[in-house]
Amino acid sequence: MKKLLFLISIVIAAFGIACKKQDVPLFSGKNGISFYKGPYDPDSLGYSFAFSLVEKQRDTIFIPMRITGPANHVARAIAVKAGDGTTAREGKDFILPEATLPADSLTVNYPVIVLNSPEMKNGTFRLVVQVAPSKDFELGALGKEIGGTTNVASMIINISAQLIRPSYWPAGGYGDFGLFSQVKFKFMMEATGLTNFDSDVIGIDQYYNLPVVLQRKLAEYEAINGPLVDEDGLRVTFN
Amino acid sequence: MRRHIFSDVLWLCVVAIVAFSCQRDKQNYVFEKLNKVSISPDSAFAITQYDTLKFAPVYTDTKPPGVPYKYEWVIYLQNGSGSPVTLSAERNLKAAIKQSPGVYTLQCRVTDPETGIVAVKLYKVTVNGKFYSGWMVANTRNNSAHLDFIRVDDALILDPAGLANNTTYSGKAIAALSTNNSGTAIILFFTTNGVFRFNGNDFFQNAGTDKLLPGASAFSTLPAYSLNVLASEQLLISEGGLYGGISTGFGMTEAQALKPFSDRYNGDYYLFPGLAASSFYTTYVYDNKYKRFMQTGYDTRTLLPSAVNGSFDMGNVGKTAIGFDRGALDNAYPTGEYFFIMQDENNNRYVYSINKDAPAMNQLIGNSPEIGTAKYFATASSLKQLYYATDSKIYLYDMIANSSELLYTFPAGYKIADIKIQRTGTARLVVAANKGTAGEVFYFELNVRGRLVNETFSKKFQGFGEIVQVGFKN
Repeated sequence: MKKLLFLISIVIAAFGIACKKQDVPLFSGKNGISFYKGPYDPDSLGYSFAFSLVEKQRDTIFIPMRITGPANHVARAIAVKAGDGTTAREGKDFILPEATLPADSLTVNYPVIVLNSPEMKNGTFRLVVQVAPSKDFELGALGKEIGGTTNVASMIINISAQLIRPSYWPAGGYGDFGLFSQVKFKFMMEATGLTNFDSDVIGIDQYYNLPVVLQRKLAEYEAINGPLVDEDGLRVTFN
Repeated sequence: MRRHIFSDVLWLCVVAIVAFSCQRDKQNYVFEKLNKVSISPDSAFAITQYDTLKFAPVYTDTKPPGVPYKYEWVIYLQNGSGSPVTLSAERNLKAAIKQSPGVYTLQCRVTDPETGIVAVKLYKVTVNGKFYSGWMVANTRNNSAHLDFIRVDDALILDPAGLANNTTYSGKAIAALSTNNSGTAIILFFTTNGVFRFNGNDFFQNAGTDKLLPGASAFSTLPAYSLNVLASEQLLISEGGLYGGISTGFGMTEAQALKPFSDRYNGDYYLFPGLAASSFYTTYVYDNKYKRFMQTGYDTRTLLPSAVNGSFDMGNVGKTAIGFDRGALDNAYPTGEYFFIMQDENNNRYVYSINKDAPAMNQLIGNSPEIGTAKYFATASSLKQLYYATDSKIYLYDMIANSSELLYTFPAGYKIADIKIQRTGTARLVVAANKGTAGEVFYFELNVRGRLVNETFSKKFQGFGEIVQVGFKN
């Protein structure tokens, strides 16, 4: 009888253990915030005041941020600072304003204000924007999430008033637009009234068709002024 | 005592289960044949969209069930996306086929309700648009431009574009041209008052001059329209200028192919309306201003003089192009030979050709009656033969023998307006001729030697205004 009772108690104990509810691991920690970028986004951004048909003294670049942790029913403060490696001057080349994460939000676009300082006509300034601790957030979790986007602690913005090669324009050439040069790009802007020639923006048809317009405009220009020569001494062409 | 009883019963059960599970299977089953249904005969259907498909298959069964069969007719696109569509649940099919033009599989499914056993039969169904393939006839009647259509089954459809768009196209007709890449069928209809683009499947207009050739205004001369070999771009010659547009090759969408053409390619030239897409990467054209061949690479909007020198110097031909057509294509290398009829300052006529990327024929046309006054030219699809027409006569020029023979003379009062070769299906010479301001289209069937079967036309279509051009639509 004792053996039978022992056996029954073992079986009951085994069932009890097997049916025990498993604890679900939950995140716990301080609220964090970080910048993030898509799987094909570049590691740095470029901004030039030269990519504007009307001269601007300041502009705003928005950098996406997202939090680690739950949303909240109140707006929370975000802090961003200029990190190591920054050559741009706060107040002269950029401003990092105070910003908040709106209530019930998980993401926000942080506004970096860039200023068109006189020195930018001759050089490019680097701004490393970095997450700083605030009363509501510390640096959030970093790395790639399953959707392919990546949380990063800082982003690099190269600011200039020079015409610098846009990220969509490969160094080896951009279709019939050819090799990039400052003179060529300025001519393109003046001839078309456009400042962004990214095929995602102008459409694949204009990627092919705009060079025909530019060839004609260039021929008209050359008929009056002679060949258009760029800063490297090369004649500007569109084919 | 109770413990012993419980234990004994437990052991008895175990022994009984073991004994039963080890029992030998005597294989003494009774087999009963189930009903077997088969569907016949094999068949395939070609039907025009929105027509009703009727079909009564023969169902054969070995043991009819006591309750009716369950029938199901389902259609789905072959090699494509989209969900199957149930057409009918009746024994015999009778259903309107509303599917878009394409090749479909029709599935007939019969279920025996007693056994659940299913018999299935598959049929191929080709759904054609109402305007699936045929000859477009550009003509002018009642003081307006008309585009009429002779479908390959000889159905004559007058003014489909005007009816589809509830409009009249003012001015005089110039030409109707088309391309079709992977089902993106495009028709361009040129009139003296503008150019219009229609969906090739239904003739609905989707662009006028402003959204097709922005900046172009005057139209008077015959245009040319073709895809390059890679089908990555549309090429158009209008009023001597070359224009480019995206096509659906290289993964481009139909919406992208319906964007406006480029501006006129830059340069000092005036092109004859002929696009020789003879090579994968290069399309050749002829500049009548400087009497030379020019070329454009794929997906680049530039036009440059050709510099290849072989049987002739492509960059310095020195003659005026007056005719153009495609010859035999190389199936293994889907390019081919394209012919240009040239004229020198003494009114001598020549055949020049480009085969793939190289100059090929360069021959003075000899022993050919009335070649000096010939206006229309068409080259055979396989033999090295050129059909040419004066106002009333059709001749066949044998390029190898360098001599011609008369094939047909139209009765007095007719004036030939165009000749073309039908390159799909039957071997056929298609001739448009006007009797005053009334146009007619004639089909001349060709034998294997390129001569006219029965030395006359096989079919004649009437009801057109004054015809200026005919063009085939795939």
